[in-house]
Amino acid sequence: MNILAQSLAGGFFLGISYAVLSAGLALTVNVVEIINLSHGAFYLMGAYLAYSASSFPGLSLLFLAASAAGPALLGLFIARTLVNPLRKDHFSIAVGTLGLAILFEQAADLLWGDRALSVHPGAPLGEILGVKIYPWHAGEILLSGAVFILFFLLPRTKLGLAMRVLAEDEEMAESVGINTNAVRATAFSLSCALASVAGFVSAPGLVLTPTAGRMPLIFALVIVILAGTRRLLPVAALSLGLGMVTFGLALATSAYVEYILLLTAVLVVVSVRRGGLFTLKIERDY
Amino acid sequence: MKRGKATLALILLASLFLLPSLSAAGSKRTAPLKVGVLCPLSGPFAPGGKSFLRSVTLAAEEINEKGGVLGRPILLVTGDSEGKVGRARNEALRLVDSEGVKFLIGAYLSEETLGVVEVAAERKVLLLVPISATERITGLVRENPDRYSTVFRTGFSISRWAEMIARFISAQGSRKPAFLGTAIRWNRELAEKLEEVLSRQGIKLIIEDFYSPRRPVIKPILLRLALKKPDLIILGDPGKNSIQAVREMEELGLKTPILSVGGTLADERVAKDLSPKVPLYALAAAYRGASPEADRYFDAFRKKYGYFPSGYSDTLPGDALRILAGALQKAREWSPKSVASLLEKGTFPGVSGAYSFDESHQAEWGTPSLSGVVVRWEGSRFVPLKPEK
Repeated sequence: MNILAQSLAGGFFLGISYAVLSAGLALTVNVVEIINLSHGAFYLMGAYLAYSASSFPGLSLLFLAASAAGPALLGLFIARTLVNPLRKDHFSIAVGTLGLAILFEQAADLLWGDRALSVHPGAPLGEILGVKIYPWHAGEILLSGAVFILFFLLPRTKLGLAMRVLAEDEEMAESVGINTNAVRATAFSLSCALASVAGFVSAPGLVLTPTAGRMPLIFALVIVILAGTRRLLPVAALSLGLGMVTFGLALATSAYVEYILLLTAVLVVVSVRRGGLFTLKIERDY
Repeated sequence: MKRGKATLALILLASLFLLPSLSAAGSKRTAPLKVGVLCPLSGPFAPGGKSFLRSVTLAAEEINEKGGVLGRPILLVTGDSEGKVGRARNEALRLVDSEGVKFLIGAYLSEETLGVVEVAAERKVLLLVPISATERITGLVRENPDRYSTVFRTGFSISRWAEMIARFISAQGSRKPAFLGTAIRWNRELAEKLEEVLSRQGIKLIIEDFYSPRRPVIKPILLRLALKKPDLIILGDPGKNSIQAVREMEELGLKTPILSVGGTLADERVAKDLSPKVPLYALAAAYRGASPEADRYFDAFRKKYGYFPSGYSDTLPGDALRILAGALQKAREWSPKSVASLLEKGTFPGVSGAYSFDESHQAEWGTPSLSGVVVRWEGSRFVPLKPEK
């Protein structure tokens, strides 16, 4: 067994699953200016859809499309009814999105039950340096590529430009005639769809229970806090780095010491650099 | 005519006085026998707690269909322990003081149960412990038999568990077993005890490793484990992360047979989803195909709940109620003390076998009459291994 190749591959796939999830969360934090505590629940929604899709092997693509479209529509509805009206009240929006997460967990419990479910990964596509590559690994690579392309092209569109202006200055966005509520709702909806598709693709690497979305949410938050929300590249780089470091630490020390070290590092960084590791200048309100 | 009317009035009057006392006598005979059930019905351990309750409910229905205990139907009164020590203790006190319960079954986690044990000792109610495995429970009985005279463990203790695993290791001819578990107290105690038992057989665990129960990063541990080339992996995690462990072993191409301590991996629905390619064994208290009693229970369970039980946390709690009913039938009275002294001497049948207790009030697991069972995944279902001679 090639330990180095296995470790690199393990860290890499851990990292890209963090990256896709964090990219969506960063979008919400940046454009909508809220922390969506139901982001992990959308991730789980996609994973549960993948579980259901495994009973209909011929309809996987249809389920994948549904895992994007369903949460996107739901996100749009939530944005219009909950997020936009409450977003300036940070306490209410935190409670509201947390409530949504709990609601989704209860719905998952009713629909799929509280027992642990798993999605079979299928036969490996091949081996690279002794590392087995499964279809879901390829799916994660394709998805992260698609996210990069999306985030590269988005600022070059009218919608992307509107998001950028809104993220910079809300008053200015309104003064140039941007429908800020609609832009926020679209960003929120896109973020929900991204989380769900990430869950769908990563499902074979997860154990599904109604509360399994909580831990990915914590990790996405950690990455967004550390990397900042303005640019995708730091989010992706940090996600990959974190995946590698996590894997390496767990290999060198133990799997639970690694978690403690990681959270300690976050506390230290946040206390030293309020805006995150990759913010060039700390912004001040005064 | 007048005399007739007067007689009728007298009879009616007399019946007015007599009826209440007659109905009282009747209600005393048929008043339900309250049995307290303590398990986590909410919180992170709720799935296990619900299985626990399903098992006791099925046993209560079975007993009630046969006429109850000495003519009294069993009424289960539940307390949600939420997986918290304080909550378990408060719920036990509520069941005993407010509901008038004299017989308790529970709790689920070892920590919870240790709190409930104190309630049982203070209030002198009978406590049957079907799941919690910590040595501390029977240790208390051994240290202070008078105070804890009404506390009995019907389930596995960590020592008995370790002995059964060691027996399997021996039977498989394994010389290089490894232990992989989750970083909880119970798993650490089990690994420690297993090491001790194996060392008496001249076998050494080549690696002992644990992953975080909240955020399992298992693959690095498996890489460490693969370097040591074990010939058998004891998977100590009874929870959902054991699924990930098996999946990642396959991803890494590890072909080492796995013995799971049971729980999640002994659930046929889970094993079907997982369809493991490595030999997968699981330890259970009882399993379909192991005995006619187990077959009957497994079929009844599936009829009621739509799936087969995994043979541990969804089987042992029901056995605790069967033991209680059996002891009450023999005692012919409702005193916890009398039932406790009968439990110390007698043998009581359950789905998993015939239960008798040692001096620390631990059920004698690992004996021919209460052996436990190892099952092997055969592609579509678990099949019990033949017991050793």
